[in-house]
Amino acid sequence: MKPVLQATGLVKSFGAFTAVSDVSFTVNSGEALAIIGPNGAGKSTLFDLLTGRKSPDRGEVMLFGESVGHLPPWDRVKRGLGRSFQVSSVFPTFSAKENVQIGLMLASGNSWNPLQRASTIQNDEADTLLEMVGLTTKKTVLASDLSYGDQRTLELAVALSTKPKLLLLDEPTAGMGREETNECLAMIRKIATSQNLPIVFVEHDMDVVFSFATRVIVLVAGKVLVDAAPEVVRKDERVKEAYFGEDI
Amino acid sequence: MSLNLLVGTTGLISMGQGLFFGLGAYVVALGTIRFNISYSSAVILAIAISLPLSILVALISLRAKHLFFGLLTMAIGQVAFVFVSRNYKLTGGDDGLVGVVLPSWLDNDNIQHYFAVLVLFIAGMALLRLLSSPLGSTLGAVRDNPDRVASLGGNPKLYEIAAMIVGGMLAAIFGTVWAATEGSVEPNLFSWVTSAMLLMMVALGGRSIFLGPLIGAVILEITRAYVQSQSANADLVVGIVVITCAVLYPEGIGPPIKKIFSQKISGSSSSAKVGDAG
Repeated sequence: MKPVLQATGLVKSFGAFTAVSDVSFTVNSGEALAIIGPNGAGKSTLFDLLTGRKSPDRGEVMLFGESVGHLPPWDRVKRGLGRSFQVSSVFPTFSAKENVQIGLMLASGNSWNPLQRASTIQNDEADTLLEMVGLTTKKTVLASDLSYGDQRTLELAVALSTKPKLLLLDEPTAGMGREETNECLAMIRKIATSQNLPIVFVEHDMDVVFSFATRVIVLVAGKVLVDAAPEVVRKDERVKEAYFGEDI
Repeated sequence: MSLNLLVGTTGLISMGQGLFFGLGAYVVALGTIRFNISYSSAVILAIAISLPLSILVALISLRAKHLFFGLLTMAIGQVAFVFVSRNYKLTGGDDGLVGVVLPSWLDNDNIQHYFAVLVLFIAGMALLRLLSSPLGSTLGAVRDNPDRVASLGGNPKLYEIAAMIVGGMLAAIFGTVWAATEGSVEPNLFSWVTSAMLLMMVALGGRSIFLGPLIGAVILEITRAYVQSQSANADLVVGIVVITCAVLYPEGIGPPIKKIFSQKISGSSSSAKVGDAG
């Protein structure tokens, strides 16, 4: 069976600084892969290379066996790649439901329709997604008026609107309190399990990483230090050293 | 109105919308005066030319973002301005062209004004329909967050090009109406001054509401007409009025007017409900 995602020898430099250096890994069906590392390790750049926001200097990205390294972000989305951003990334002047509808319209090609009323498009699908993430009661609220936690949750619903076959989450619980984090995590786990959706996520909160990931990649200075199961990573001396001797 | 599709809806601050307005006006003037084609044929020709021209302008100017996008659109408009103002043989140069030939049904001042209002109404309705459509929502999404649009499967640049095409064609249509109502054209229609005036109308009325540019245009034109009849320093007074409005209403005059109307409507409907209950 072909891996869902395969990155081979990815390299990205900015001038003399190499942000990602010869990174290779695979993501298989049903996996929840966490990418961790200290600040400046190259996690966000690696995410950008996978999603097409940045082009690698060298290396290849394969999605379901197809080379996508040369494709822009929107073409990768059409091949099943969904993502959320590190900083909350919703459409602030639209309501929660309209945010989801925009995602649905973009994914289905309805976004070019100049005649029909947008509010009548894919209504039920939008309601289902909002119900899935628990935002039904706030569907008419402007996205900019939602709490930070709700905006992150809405972002997840918007990411799911493209019906991804692989979901990349950039610090999905960043800025949330412990209770919100646990709720968000439970929701992501439920969605991933029910849809058999493989997930790759960048995360700083080690409680989140070790309670959710089935595999962990540790990036340090743009290179893969360890690629192993969470319990192996937790005990790895090199990882502890990378985090300045902290127990992780 | 056409400019606000770019500025308010899509977030593209174009400083060269006069190019399309001037194009519409000049195609009608040249067509009817120099080439003896009918007014309606000239209008169709103007719309047809505005399509490839808007694509070309979009492809050039959208290579840059924000301020530099605006400067590129302005530069393209200035190229057209210089071309028209120096080409005496064809365009009449700085003097422009006088004596636009109109069909008999349009050759009357009152009819021309009703015609202008009718075109404005139809264009406004069509634009309103577009804004409430999926395409309109997507243009708003591109303005809010182009990166997010890209990560949801849409190419933001294609939507921006679409907005520039619609905006350009609309401006060309309004230009053809201008030529009909004024009866003459001049190269200044292409210049950055015209584009700046259009942008000022949008900013003054408020880009966040549909009727904002119309409100801005009415305020600006009425103020200008009144001051010109009273004083030789019309531009100075208009400038002061614009600055005062910008300081008092940074989001434009439209939003507070809309708020007052909304309050009045909700006030009258709630009093009606009380009356009903009584």
